[in-house]
Amino acid sequence: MTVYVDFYQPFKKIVQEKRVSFSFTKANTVTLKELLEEIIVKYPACSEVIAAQDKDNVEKFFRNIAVLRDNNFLLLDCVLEDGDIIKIFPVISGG
Amino acid sequence: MYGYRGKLLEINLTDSSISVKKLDENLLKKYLGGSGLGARLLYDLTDGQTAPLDEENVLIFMTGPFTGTKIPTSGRHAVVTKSPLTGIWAEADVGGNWGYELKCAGFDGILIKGKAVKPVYLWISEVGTELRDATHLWGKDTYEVDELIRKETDSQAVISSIGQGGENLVAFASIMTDGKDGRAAGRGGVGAVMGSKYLKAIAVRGKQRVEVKYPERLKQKIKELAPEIVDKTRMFGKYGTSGGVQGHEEMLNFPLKNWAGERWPEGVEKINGIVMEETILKKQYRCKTCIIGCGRDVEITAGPYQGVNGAGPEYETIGTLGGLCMIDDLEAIAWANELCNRYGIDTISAGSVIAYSMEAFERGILTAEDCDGLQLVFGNEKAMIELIHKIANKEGYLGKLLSKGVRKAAAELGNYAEEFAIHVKGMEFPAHDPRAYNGVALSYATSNRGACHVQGFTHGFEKGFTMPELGIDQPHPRHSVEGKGEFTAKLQDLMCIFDSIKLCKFVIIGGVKLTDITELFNAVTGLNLTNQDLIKIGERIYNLKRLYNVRCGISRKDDSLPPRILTQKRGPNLPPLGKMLNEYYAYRKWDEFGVPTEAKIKELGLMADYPDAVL
Repeated sequence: MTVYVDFYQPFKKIVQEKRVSFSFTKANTVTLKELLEEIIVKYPACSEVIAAQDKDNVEKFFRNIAVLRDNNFLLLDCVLEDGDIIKIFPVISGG
Repeated sequence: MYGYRGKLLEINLTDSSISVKKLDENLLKKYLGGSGLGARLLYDLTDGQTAPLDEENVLIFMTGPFTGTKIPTSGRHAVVTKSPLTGIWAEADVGGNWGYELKCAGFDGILIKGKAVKPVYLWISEVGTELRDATHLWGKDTYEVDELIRKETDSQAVISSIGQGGENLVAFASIMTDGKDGRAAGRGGVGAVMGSKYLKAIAVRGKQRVEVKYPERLKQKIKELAPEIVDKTRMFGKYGTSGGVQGHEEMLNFPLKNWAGERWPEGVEKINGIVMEETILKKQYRCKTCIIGCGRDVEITAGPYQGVNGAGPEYETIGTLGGLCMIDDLEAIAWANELCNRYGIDTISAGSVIAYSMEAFERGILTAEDCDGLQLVFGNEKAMIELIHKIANKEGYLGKLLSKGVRKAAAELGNYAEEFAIHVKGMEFPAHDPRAYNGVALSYATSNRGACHVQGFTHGFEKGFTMPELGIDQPHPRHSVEGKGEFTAKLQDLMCIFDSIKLCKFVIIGGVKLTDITELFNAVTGLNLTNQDLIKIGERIYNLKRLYNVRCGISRKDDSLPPRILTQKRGPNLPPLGKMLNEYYAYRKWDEFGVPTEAKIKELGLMADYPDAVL
């Protein structure tokens, strides 16, 4: 299965592309956690920008980002589907 | 009582008298401090007939039991009064160093009464308290005043002051704290009340430590919480409150074109916290005891906005002066932000009223003659900046008109101008679209100070936060309706606790829960409250503020949203306000007009204080 990830700043600058596809051999059992693990393997600077000393820690990465699918926020254990478009931002704050 | 000084400084500007009042322990236990205690004082001292800018209105500065301790993000205070913008309850919450300093000077709060005959400022130190002549400071902006007063008093003094906006009684004038670090008691026109009293500033310097009951317990609890707060707010610290601008736009939450726009990805790409970090950010700013550091300190060294040096624009400011006005130049927004800070006017209301005037101009309701030749079209940053000068100085027809806020400006313009005036109870919207979150819609409609996103902070809990102690163990789906009344009311009660003990709501992002707050509170005060006790106090405070508003004529008719928000879709959702409001009133045990019932007033222990509270 393939999912598409739209990266927003500051990640877009690191990835150098707005949309990147990630392919998995298993279908419909891939979780968001697994996708994020792929992302920080392929683009370690994405998690380094948050905490360099914890760049391999997917939970810490997730805590500091917001992940959307169909404009709904996803939790780490959400199962992804083939063709999903996932959007990744810094944690959405406002104030 | 531990965590408090037990003292309220009372200043009567009419006869220049200064006295110290003892704060009753039972009063503190019942209303905690901050805006909770402020609500009680305002209710006792003013009524529905009090004119906000007349001598009889009072201005209250209040810290809480956490202020002055080492609890992270507790360096805050509240300013409470009757609002000249809305005519009802007003509270403005602010960080910086001033509240901490006041507590260390020996006071929990200051009550300002009366009106001086000429400009004065208040100087509070270990030596004593005195009123000083401020004639030479009148007409100066808040950055200048900060420097001048520190030269006259103590270089370490912390200043809260008004600029020309407050002097000129702009209905949304702010009270600025910490000079060019630009912390704002922004909302509701508290600065105009200060200006009406000829009080230019309050300078404070204090050195006394605040005693807590169980210092070791408190230390351990802070040690337990701090790493997680730091860990979960890294991006917030790195990119500030505006780090999420693009995300908010994607969620259809970021405001555009006087709330008529749908999408603007190409615009927000230029005006967000990441761009700020890469361009004009000089360093992070932290309020006293803060471990998050979301404040921005910016500098512009070249170009048309060269000279900007100090507080950078927050998310709300970028949303209103940027998105609502369709300005995609971050440096122009930073300059506009600095102007608002210097003049002492609220950036949210300023951006909103300017965007409103742009729409009125484009619709032909405002003419070029009305606007002194300004081409008031969306996207014109020069016009936006010029209007800030005009509003703060009440210059010309347009400056005078817009200085009254959107509601009054629209009423004066007449015709269909009120159709696109975006406010609740006279308070302009902050930068979160109620169509994106039903909880925000209900929160805006019912918040005691008018449209407000932080009196309920519901959007956070419709995105990812949880508060299991309140039964919110999962984020509430943002477009859901069922249960939204109870959800919103519970969070409003919780936020009353934050606003009263004085704790920044951003610690919620850092994972802080109600149980943590209760433990901190008990360690500070030595009391032994449960979570339920604390939430009941929050509910009491929320209801007292509502009762104050009921006195001012507020009822269900005012708990509404503008026609544009209820009828014009942005994305898939229109908030079904009536249904949510019914559920909300039922949960709160308010009657069909939105008035707290006698049973509820009794249950909350308000009856003993206010036997006439049922109107």
